[in-house]
Amino acid sequence: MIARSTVFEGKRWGVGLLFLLLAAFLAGCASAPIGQGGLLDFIQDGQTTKEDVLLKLGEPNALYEESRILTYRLSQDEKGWILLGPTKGWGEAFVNLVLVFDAQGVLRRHSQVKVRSP
Amino acid sequence: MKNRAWGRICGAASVLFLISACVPIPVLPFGDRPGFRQNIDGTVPAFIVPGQTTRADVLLVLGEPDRREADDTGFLYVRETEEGGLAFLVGGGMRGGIIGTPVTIRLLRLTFNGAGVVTDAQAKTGTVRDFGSDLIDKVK
Repeated sequence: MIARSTVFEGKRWGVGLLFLLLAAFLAGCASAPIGQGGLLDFIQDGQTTKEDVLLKLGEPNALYEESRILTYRLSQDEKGWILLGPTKGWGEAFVNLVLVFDAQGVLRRHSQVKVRSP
Repeated sequence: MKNRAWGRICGAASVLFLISACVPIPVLPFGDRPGFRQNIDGTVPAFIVPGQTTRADVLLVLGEPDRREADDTGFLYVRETEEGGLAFLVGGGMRGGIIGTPVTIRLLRLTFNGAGVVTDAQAKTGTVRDFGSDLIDKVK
């Protein structure tokens, strides 16, 4: 009797583990970046610092002029901006955020360049 | 008689083998290639004035270049557009697929001096067939 119960418990654990693995597998398949509405709202010429940008947006896609100019690649969905990492070609990205800082690391100029159609 | 039939079969097989390696097929003009920029048009944009425009000005309007020199003295912007026309369906012992699609390449090449000011701006447009090699080299 005890032995049968142990086998039953073992089977339940097996089925549970299988479901867990399946859920993890499907979760991996289903995950996609979701847009953030206010992602770029903090960016203001004359106020935002390079530190603010790096803390909020992370590592830029490219750096120019000894890190005085930073660029990020973005796409967009109905919820907002999606920050993308380096891609071969432009990939899913269609907007290039360009940030130009002064010697003190304060943002002087910026633009959202529409590089291609979504 | 039997030899003649075999000869015809071998002849037909040879012709089929030859044309199977490279069959011309029509392709539609698919337009701008995915993953390539669309914000250059094969001319030097009016805002770029050698001796005045800076690297920052260029980046703020056109975005990151597609290729850059190690010391940022040169930027290259590239747009690739697939044109319609005839391409080739390749089979046989080669990697299968469509090759030779006519592609229009638009290039914008900028050079900068040590102060980050544009010293030269050149635009080029050319239509080449895409056989898998670097198309930019064919237009340069």
